[in-house]
Amino acid sequence: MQVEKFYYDNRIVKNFAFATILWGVVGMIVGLYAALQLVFPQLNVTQYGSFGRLRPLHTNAVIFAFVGNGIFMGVYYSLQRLLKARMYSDVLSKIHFWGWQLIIVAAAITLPLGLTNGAEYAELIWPIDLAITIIWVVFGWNMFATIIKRREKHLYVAIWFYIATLVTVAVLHIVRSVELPYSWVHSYSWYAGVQDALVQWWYGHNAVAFFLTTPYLGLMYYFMPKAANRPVYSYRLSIIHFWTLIFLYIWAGPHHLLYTALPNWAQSLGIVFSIMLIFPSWGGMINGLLTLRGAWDRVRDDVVLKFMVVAVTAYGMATFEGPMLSLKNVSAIAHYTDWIVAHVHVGALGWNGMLTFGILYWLIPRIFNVPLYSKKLAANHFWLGTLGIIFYAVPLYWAGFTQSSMWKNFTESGQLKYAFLETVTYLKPFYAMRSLGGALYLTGALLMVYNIYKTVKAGKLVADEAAEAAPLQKVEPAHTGEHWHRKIERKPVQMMVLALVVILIGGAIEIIPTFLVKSNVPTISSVKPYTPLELQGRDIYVREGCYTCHSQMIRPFRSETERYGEYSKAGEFVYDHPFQWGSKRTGPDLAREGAGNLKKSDGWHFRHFREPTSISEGSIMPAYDFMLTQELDTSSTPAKINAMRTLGVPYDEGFELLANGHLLEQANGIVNNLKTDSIRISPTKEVIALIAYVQRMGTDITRQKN
Amino acid sequence: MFKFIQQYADKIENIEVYPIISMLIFFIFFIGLLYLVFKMDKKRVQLLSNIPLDASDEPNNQSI
Repeated sequence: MQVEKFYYDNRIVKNFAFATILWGVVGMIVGLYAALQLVFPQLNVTQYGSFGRLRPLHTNAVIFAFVGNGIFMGVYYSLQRLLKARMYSDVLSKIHFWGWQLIIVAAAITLPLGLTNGAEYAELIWPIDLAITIIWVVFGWNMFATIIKRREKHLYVAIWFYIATLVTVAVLHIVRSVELPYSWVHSYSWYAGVQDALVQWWYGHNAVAFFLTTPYLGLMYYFMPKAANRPVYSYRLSIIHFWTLIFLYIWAGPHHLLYTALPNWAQSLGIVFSIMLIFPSWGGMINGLLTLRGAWDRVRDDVVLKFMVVAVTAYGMATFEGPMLSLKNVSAIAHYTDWIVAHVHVGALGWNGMLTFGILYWLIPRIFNVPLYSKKLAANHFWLGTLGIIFYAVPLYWAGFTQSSMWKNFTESGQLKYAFLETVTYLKPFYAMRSLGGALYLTGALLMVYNIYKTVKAGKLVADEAAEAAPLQKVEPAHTGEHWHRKIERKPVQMMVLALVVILIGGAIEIIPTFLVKSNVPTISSVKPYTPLELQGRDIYVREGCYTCHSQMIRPFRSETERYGEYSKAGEFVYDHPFQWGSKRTGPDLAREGAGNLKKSDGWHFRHFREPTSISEGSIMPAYDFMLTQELDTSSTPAKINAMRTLGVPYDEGFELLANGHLLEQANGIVNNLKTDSIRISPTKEVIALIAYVQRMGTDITRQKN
Repeated sequence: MFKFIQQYADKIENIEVYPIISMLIFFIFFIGLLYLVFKMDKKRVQLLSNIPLDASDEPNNQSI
């Protein structure tokens, strides 16, 4: 048969490679800065640089910018070669590249401005959500069209991982982003309370699964055999790995909500499937490591293999720890603490980071047709990176376990032994050590930047790399008794549909009952919609990213009910668009901040927002003094009330016209309270709304008791 | 595990079948998968696992 000559597009690979390096460094710098803010709260400069706004910037930058571009770099390189075809369209590739970078820039601008949806890893506002959808479709179109015009009959396992990633991320993104816009940059989540929480962690966990894991497993299955120059240990195992992993992962989300107000049956489902996940995950890790069988001696000299071995080992550690953390008794200790932060960083720094670096060191010399500038620098990067992970994770494991024990510690007479603030100040040295770990890791990455810069300068991009292969025969002789998987391997569309069905089963069984069955959220008659001022205050709470440090979910433990009051009920959150349960307690839980023993005066909150340390010595909370001067935007009140009514919050018809009157009345009440504390302030400042919201928290239940 | 679920059984009809159904779906899927995978032809497996190592897509065989 006639052999066709064609060219691989290396320019797009180069672009994504440079983007992953650039955003990786940016994401790490923001992360390091946020880590230092926990040690030196005075680093919270201006509202745009406060921890609550920078932390989402860090997570989004690392996940979607660093790892995102890393995925595309690896996919565009390996897909062309595995299919023996150039990408379908250079134009689509370019739209994909520049579109994705624009989305990242938009995120980097909007997040510090406080424009956020208030849902972890789904913070980006609705116009950006739309843009992500469009660009994702462009990527999918380009990928599928390339698969269709391929010259290789069979789809290698890496490509299945890419297909599963494509379709699942699309489903996750769309379901999570159902929101009702009430301005060009603002919207409310369509879901409320428990449902929003379930959707969030179904999304959140699968963002880990299908953005940070499956595409990188695809990369592992391509680049590890390449770097080791031997085929994957067991191709059969890789098929089992693929199907079981995508089947099980989608169910695991509720393990983020153990002991919360989520119905127990959903929690149990999450636990069982999370435990089972250990098997495919470890199957994959073993498959990756055993690919190096007979080549272990090369790991000593080959820095690419070193990075990959640490990456796959970190994957194994994180996926062992994950199922353990989904056990209720372990979650009771680890949830809300720095243990979880350590866990995700083993994944992000170890698995994603080290694999990206390994691939970069392998790929850049190839597409620039030049040896790597310095093997020694790369080896130093490897050691700095590995040490960085250890210095990052170990102090945080220690911190998490210690803080949890302190929270649960009672004196002999049955009192809580430690005030919350004591447990925070105790952690400062651990936070400092963690920052050191982060700094080491970043230093390693900077060495790589220099190394790759020198390599690129010495070489020249092979923009169009020549290759040749025979075209695919159009008509396949159908033979009976053909193996089922052989059929699917050749049919990418069927593969995609099958993957879609597999992931929809889990999502549907978990989510649909929670939505359909009313009794999943027992209503509490005393729970009333927020007043207009409280609603405005709540939106400020969301804007400032308070949920990054404060939970609003009291678990049914004595150590929590003693500290925070009665445990949280599902019915308390029915008007919460979005839910704000949080996932980390760098500060205390706020679910009952306005009720019971926790209630403080308006003056206390005013002073605390202005300068937290003036009230709580040693507090690491940022100062929110700008809210004392910033005017509340009351022009948005009617639109907010209307939007909430559309979402099912029972505000009376026409209330939107009266809302600002109510708002001012309530604000004047707070201003009068503050006067008795000799504080004078206008009722339309932002801090007044936030005080109103904080004072509201948890009062519904108390009202019921009275 | 079933104790947790049964608390809700009087509120959601037959809720206890949910986890059982899920387990069954997965179990059948998994057994089927194992069976089919181990039935795969050895030569094919070898062919597939060698796809990335096809030398033709590496004209400039650099090692760093």
